[in-house]
Amino acid sequence: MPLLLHRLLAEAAERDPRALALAMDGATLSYGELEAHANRFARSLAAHGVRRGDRVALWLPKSPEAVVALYGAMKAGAAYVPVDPAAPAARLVALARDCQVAGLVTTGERAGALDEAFGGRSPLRALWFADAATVADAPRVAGLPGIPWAALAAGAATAPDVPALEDDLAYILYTSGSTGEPKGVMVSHRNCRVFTDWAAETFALTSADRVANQAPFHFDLSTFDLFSTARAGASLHPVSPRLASFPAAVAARWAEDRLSVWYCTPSSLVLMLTRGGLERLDLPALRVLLFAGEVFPIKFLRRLMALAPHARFANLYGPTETNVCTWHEVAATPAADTPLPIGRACPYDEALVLDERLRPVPAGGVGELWIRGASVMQGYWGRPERNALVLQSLEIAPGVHDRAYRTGDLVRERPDGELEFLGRRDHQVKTRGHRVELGEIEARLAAHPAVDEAVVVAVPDEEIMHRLKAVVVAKPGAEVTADALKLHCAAMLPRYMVPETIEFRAALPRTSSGKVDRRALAGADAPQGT
Amino acid sequence: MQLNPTESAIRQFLVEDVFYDRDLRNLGPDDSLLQRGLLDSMSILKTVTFCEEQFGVSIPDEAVLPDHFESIRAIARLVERVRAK
Repeated sequence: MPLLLHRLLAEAAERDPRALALAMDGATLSYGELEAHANRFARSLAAHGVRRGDRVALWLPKSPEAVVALYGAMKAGAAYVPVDPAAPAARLVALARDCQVAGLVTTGERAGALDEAFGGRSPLRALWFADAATVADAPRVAGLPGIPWAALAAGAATAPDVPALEDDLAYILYTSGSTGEPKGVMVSHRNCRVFTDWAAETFALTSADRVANQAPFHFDLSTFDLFSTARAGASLHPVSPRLASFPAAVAARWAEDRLSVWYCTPSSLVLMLTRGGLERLDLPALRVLLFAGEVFPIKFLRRLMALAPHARFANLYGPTETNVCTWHEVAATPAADTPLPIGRACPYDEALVLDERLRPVPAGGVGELWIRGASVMQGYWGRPERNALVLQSLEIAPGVHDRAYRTGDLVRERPDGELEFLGRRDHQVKTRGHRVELGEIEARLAAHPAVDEAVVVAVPDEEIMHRLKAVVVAKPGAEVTADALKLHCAAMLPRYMVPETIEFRAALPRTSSGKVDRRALAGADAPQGT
Repeated sequence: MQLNPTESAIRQFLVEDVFYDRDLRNLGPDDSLLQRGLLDSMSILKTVTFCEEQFGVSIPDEAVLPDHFESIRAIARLVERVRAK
């Protein structure tokens, strides 16, 4: 049987259809029910012209319907394209046009903004409203009639007969792009399954596990939650959107629900420690705690490990383009002053540390990390120049070549063979676990008619890693306020990319070589790349 | 709509400083801030800081829960409760 993500669900449903698959906000779905709902949605997609190789976008709050929708899209042979539910409609429309989505699943309250943003022209063949019971609750968008979710119940619950291969695309995740355009990372079923299968085995997930799901579905940490859980026939416990922004509520829920496996960003965990009262809770059920996406401040990791001394802790590393490609199990509480390594390559990948001329850097030297192997993405959707730049054929051994992904991360190999992350080659930063290209925000600011020059810097922050600050030079004679520029950013960018502060200056500080002095703008020794 | 001074100050802060990108001129004291997905984690922290500075109170972390941020009225009630302590 090919390595397909939706096979994991079908197999779990076959083994034990009554086992709990998902619990959220008091609602539950068994594996049998989840499989049947996903099959019905897949049949509806097919009936409305969605074919193998198409894309189906999801733009709705986290919900059981969103889980049904992503499995249904794959069962119909399509790739799911999850979009930040909090992003403005203009961004959804830009992404939908970029990868020409054929189907969209959303909610009724978004219909008006969507219709306006599409402006009468959309690549869609059909759209579904996950919260609609009747045709009357499913408005028209861009000339298309909306399909109410409840209408799916009329369809057959058996899987549609759609052929699929492991190299077909499973999902496309959009990440921030340095030139102002988000890039769609194309990931195949095989790319994802090598990681989720490995993780389920390595962390010994069983049907008795209760797995937390904090990451949104447009964030690839969620692939572990969804698919490693399904592989084990364990139950998934997504955080309700109502609680997600309240660290104290999430922490209390996870303790009450006796969740045994958590995978989230260091920012989320730090906020649960500093503002969520995590240390007042009992966590006897916690068995595995995984984190990724950022450097974990050791002082907080030590506090976390003291809370659950019986649990396994591991640092997983990898950009969306490779998903998790290296890992480090934190076997003993690390000393306060040692940086946590990103570890060694997972068994399906190989990590290469190369210099500027693509020659291996001897152990101990600083080089750029390249990854080759089964988890490396298929490329960015519709970006051949960008693909040529970051996916290159390298000589792995004399006469042996393979395609490898250039991460942009600078690393060093320690004497024990573990890799240490040192920083970025460029202006990509992490804030609250989100990956942000400062250039994308700068491009948006510069598009404002009153802006002459704009630079965005990341100011280090103990809890959320970085805060974004923009420094703007207005055009001579132009009048513009910080609020107006925030509004201009929020119309196209997700909230987390809108700078928290916007400062105006007559000119930008420059280094002796004439480059904008980002370090001076960020204050202190901020890691701003080169 | 009848707003007491605490509610008015919170409303003005939310409409002008937090939801600057939305048109919420009609935001009422009992309208749900969570149902409509208006409050994200950044907005909540900003709101807590605003209330602490504006009303000279200290809001404990364990009180920062969905029920207390459901609406303008709920936030104002939280402020009154911690002020009474």
